[in-house]
Amino acid sequence: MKGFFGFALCLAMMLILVLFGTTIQKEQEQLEKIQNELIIAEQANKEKTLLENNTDKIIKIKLTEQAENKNFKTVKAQNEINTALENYLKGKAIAATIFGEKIGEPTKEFLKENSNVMILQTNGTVYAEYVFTSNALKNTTISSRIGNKIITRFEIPAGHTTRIMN
Amino acid sequence: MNSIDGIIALCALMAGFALLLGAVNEQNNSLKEATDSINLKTTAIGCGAIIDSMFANSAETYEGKTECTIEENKAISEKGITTKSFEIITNARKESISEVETLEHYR
Repeated sequence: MKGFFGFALCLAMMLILVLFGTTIQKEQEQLEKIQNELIIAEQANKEKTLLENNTDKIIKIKLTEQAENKNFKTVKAQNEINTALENYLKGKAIAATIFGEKIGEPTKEFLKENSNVMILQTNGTVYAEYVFTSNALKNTTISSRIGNKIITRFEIPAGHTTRIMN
Repeated sequence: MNSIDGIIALCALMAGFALLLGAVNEQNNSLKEATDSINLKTTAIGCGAIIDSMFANSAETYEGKTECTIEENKAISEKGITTKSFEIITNARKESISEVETLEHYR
């Protein structure tokens, strides 16, 4: 009889251990799922930072080129910068309203209407400025939604300015 | 005499069974409480981790489902009288949707 009780107790304890193990396993799976979401969010943020840094770099390099070449024809300078930007942003971002509604692709025409270039020379120093001005209503932008569940947004805000002095 | 022995043995056996069942039932209840507690803590950690990630990555929205309440810098998960919380690095609030204060970036 003692053996039977011992066996039954052992069986009950094992059942409890199995149930507890299953619970821990389930929770671990849930945490791993969340961890994956967090990794995707980190990757999205990396992608966003790359877009921001590269956009800034392209504008800066092209603007510096224009300043070095003393290209005071601002329409031509703006066109060159916008062509480089269009090539980079094609497929990566969209022309949109500030509320995220798509207008179209960030074409040269869109960039021309939404940006301004100024190149001046004074006392031998060239001052150049590229501004993403947005439109007259300040309601257009270039943006991109990145991520899976945790969404980050790349956006060139109205008034974003790059200045160089050469 | 033999029949009384038998009855006593049966009673002892029944008492033993009752004791065993009671103990197993008690353990089962404790296990359920522990399971709920672990589940709530996991949910709170999950919500907190998502909010922290939104803050750290300047995220705009979270399109998944969360099952916790948010009070200032705490993600709280509750069921019955059991409550588990997880401290988050920023302030957030939840009404119909959760709002997380993130830092402006690239401006």
